[in-house]
Amino acid sequence: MINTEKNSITSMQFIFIISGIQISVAVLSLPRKLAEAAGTDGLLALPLGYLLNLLCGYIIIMVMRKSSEKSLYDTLSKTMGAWVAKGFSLLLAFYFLHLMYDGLVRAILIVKTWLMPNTQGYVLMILLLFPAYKIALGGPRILGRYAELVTVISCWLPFVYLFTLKYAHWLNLLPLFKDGFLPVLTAVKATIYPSLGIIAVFILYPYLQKKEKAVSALVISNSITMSVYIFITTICFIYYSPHESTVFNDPIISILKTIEFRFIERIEIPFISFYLFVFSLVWIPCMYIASFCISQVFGLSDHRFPLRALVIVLAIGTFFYLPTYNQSDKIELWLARFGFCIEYILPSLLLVYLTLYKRFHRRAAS
Amino acid sequence: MRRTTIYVCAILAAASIFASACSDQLYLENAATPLALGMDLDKNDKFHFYGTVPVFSKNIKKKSQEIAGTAESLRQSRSFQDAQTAGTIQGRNYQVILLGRRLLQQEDWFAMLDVLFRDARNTITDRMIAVDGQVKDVIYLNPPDQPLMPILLRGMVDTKTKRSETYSTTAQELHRQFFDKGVTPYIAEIKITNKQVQLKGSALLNAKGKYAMSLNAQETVLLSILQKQADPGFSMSYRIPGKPLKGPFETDMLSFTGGKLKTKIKSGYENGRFTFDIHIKTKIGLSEHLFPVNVAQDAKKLEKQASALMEKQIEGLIQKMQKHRLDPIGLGVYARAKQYKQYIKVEEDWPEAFSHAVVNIKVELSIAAMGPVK
Amino acid sequence: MIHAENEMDKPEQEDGILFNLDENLKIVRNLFSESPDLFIRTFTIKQTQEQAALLFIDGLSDQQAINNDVLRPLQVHTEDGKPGDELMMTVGHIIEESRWSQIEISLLHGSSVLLVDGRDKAYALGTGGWPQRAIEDPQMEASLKGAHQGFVETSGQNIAMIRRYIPNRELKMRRLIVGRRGQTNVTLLYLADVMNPELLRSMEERIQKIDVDVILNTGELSELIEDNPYSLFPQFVLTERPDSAASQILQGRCVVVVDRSPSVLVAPVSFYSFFQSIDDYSTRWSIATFLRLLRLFAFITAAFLPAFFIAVTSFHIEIIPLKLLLTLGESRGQVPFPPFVEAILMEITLEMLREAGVRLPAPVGQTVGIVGGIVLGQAVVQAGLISNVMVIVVAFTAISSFILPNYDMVAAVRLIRFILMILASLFGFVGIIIGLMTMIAHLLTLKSLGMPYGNPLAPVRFSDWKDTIVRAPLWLLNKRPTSTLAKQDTTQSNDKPEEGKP
Repeated sequence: MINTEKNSITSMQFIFIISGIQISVAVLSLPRKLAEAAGTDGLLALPLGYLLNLLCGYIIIMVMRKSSEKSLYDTLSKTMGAWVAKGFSLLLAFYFLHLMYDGLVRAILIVKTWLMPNTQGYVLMILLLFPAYKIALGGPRILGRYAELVTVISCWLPFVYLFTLKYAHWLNLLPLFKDGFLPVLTAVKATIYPSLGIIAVFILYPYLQKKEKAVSALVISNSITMSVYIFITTICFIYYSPHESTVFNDPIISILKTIEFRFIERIEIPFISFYLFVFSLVWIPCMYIASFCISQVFGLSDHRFPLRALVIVLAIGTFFYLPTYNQSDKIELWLARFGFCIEYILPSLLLVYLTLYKRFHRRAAS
Repeated sequence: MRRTTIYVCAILAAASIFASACSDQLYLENAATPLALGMDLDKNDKFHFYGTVPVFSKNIKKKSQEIAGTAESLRQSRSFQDAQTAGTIQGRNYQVILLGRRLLQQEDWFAMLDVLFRDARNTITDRMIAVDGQVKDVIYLNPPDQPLMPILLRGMVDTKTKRSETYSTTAQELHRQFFDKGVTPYIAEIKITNKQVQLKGSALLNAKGKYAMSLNAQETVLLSILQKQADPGFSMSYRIPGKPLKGPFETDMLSFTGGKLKTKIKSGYENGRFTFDIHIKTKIGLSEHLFPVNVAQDAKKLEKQASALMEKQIEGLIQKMQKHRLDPIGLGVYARAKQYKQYIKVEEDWPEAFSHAVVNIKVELSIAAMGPVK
Repeated sequence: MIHAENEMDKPEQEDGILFNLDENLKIVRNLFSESPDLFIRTFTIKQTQEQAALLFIDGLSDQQAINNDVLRPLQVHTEDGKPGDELMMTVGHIIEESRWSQIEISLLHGSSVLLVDGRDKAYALGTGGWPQRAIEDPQMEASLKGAHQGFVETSGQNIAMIRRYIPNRELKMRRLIVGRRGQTNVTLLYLADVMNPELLRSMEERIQKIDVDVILNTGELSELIEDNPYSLFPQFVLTERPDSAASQILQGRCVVVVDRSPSVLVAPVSFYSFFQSIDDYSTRWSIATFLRLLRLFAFITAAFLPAFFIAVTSFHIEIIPLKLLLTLGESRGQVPFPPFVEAILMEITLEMLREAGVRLPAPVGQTVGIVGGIVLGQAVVQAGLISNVMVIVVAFTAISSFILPNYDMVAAVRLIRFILMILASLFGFVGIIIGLMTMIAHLLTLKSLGMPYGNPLAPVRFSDWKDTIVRAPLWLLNKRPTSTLAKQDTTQSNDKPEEGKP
């Protein structure tokens, strides 16, 4: 059903797709959420979240290794029956739709707040869907190339943040563990939303060229994500005073406003526009994965039709309704919960099931 | 056939987007972009705003237009501001924000600036400048021999900040200072004397934003040194005691230029009071001494004298600040980082706690250069 | 000398040549009615005493060769022979034909055809000599240090020029005939032990699939075999330099030489191929690297600068630095048009000037330049129609687009510029970024002969960056580019040259 030969992706593309889904829009509000949970100690929650993600990533890879068929869907339909597999695909489709919608809505809201307050939401949506459709249509290989290219052309972004170091107050970070260990643990919850996306491995793994390197690729991608988060959060915490970090909705963008160059007065304007590239790393892969899962549910030969339907529904739907900022926050909250179940709990259950199944099967066979 | 239908639909859709798109367009020539925003209170404590809008035309001699009016708040007054200019007023290019003395004598005026932070298109790097007097006088000054007032002020503040003689506190920085409980705000201060704008130094505000005291240029340098913000190249002058005076000239004057500073701040907590040991160490270059001195021999002595004078001045400054319940140095940040347990108890009223703190100053100057003249 | 040997296949009755010369000539006159440029010379061959007729088309064949190498040896009496003997001719290229259709083609391609009474075959003599141009400096791709030979309109010469660079027996060719009426010779050149056979086959198939009347030019051929003809971007490089064609062959690509066209087609190529010039290899690597980066920068400015200007002046005035804002405001203040109209007016003027300059003869062309310069630079600004900053922007884009070494890519950039300008005037920076994103999406899906067009940026192949984005020193360029999937990927095993000792 899927042609993995023609659509294979390299380890590097795999890494950047996963990191892209994780970082994209989630990074914007991360410092605020960490600060809300634990003040400047929120920074310490990031390594903990990192370890958690590594574990979860390892479990996901193990599930894929255990699945004997080409894709997880095939394995599930073999071991649990076609309907369960369909249900599973539907669940994933829902989840990725959720992730995609959240990303799109966030991006549109940010563009609306910062750049074009009077432009209609659906206009922006249609504009964003143009390139997204074209890329998502191409399948994993084009997605991988896109992720790679975006990473290459946006790798200079972090360096601009170094300009804020002129106003750094390193003492803001001290003392560590100021209110003990508990706030740090609660802040780990805030790292879940920005780490969502590892589950894309379920779909992408069959396309991976060197499957034996999947674990290391996942470690690298999580490390990239985490170092970006740590870097950005540190920059925010040493720039803003501790009580101030919680005031700004998207501190990552607000901080840009304070950077001054001789030749360009306000760099956040071109930056936010450019950030659309980074943001797009969440909705484009998710758009593909969601439509792919839907095509599996309905047994279609490729993801073209669901993708087209999805794009049209999104464009028309936004014409009638676009969530507000508060609603988008709610979406995010739900997404974090939904994501926790899908990304952290579901793979473990699957792993247990597949292991048991194999054992039983072998015993039955012998 | 089907294809063409799809294309026609796509083109229609595109056209409808484009038709509805242009709502955010604003041509440069249609925008009135005030470069300065002034806020003040009049005698009856009524809020006044002022603005300087550049005029884009070659045929008009006067390069700027002033707008003014009374209002309840800045954004509420926008239509009133608009009514005075040919374009629409946009807060996107503010260079400076002028704050009148009478306004600064109130508490909590900072809330008036909310629109700057809330409307994402406004700048927040505009320099905050306190005016010793009325904002009106600055806005309507328009000296013919100087560039536009906002440009003049911005340049003035930015270049003097490089020499640590004032602060180019931006709106964002002021926001940070207000939100950081371990520091009190400080901004640049100007004054009009003889129809000339003059930079006074800096104005210190208390935690609520009320004007507390002013610092002159040299005191501002000292404060910058304490804040570890002073760049090498700041200049200081002292009258060395015991040197002879000749004629009307104050020939006991010694001026020097500071090098790279090493300021160490140690915090502690003893007997219910915070203690701070501040150790300032730098190499200086003599730039002027009006009295004869043999630098080769008397360098040590001169160093000691200068250090002592500087120490004394800093101590005086800190006492004054403690009296006014001010902590522009940000010692509260040190206390938070190192003495968190004690600090957190007094966080809400840190300036009060600071006023009881013990601050020990040690200055160590060493002469590294005396110039080409012996 | 003719070797009259194998006459295995008897031609069909209608198509075949008859024994009788008179009847044959009748057929010829019938076939070529109303073609006064067909000459028929009848004479007796002294050697064999046979009646013969020589057919050729005036202007397509070389009179000298016909007179000296065909007619003279045949009419000078030598030792006697009998009919059916080998004929004495001093022509190198002789093909025996026995079908009219073949003879027709040979005649129309400039060969002269000898019909002999009593023989049911004709001799097509390679006496072609059509109007030719001397080999000159390539016009479109002038180079400073490269060779000063450009391709001409004869495919044989062009192939010879390439072979001069690669005198290797692995340089193989495949000859295909394209066009029903044109019967154009299209030759595929490649290195047999380097070129990927899959790609070669795909190329051959594509050319064979073409079914048109005639191909006048390589550009036409490339449009017919492109992967995506709707795209704005050229997917094959057309070059008129033998040295760059040879270097492309060496990298594992194939070159298509089209007869009658002075440029050859190179495939597969990537986006970056259009930013390379042969001079990059003849100059020092440091300056070549600089130039490549400069070209990339020029591409970006040529495509984006007017759009950026429009976006800034009509959406994002806050990013203009204060001092520029004042001057910009002053010059924009007196212009009656919105920035978009202003920019479009100027860009169209520029395009007109460029087009006028291309078509006009050189002396008149200069006048166009002067008029354009004065109109653009001076009068328009003084009249207050266009702001002077806009003039600078347009001039800068023009200069940028002149830097790009490939005409087809410049043409693409010109169109992209207009699209981006429209987007920028509607949506500001967001529009530009959406435009860029769509462009990237397009480049990602675009292919050249089935190979990814975005190579080596998408997919990222760091090993190929050495000779695309930068130009590393030659001794580091040991591998052929991965984008050609070459069978043999090592080109050299050079090390850094040793430091000379006195």
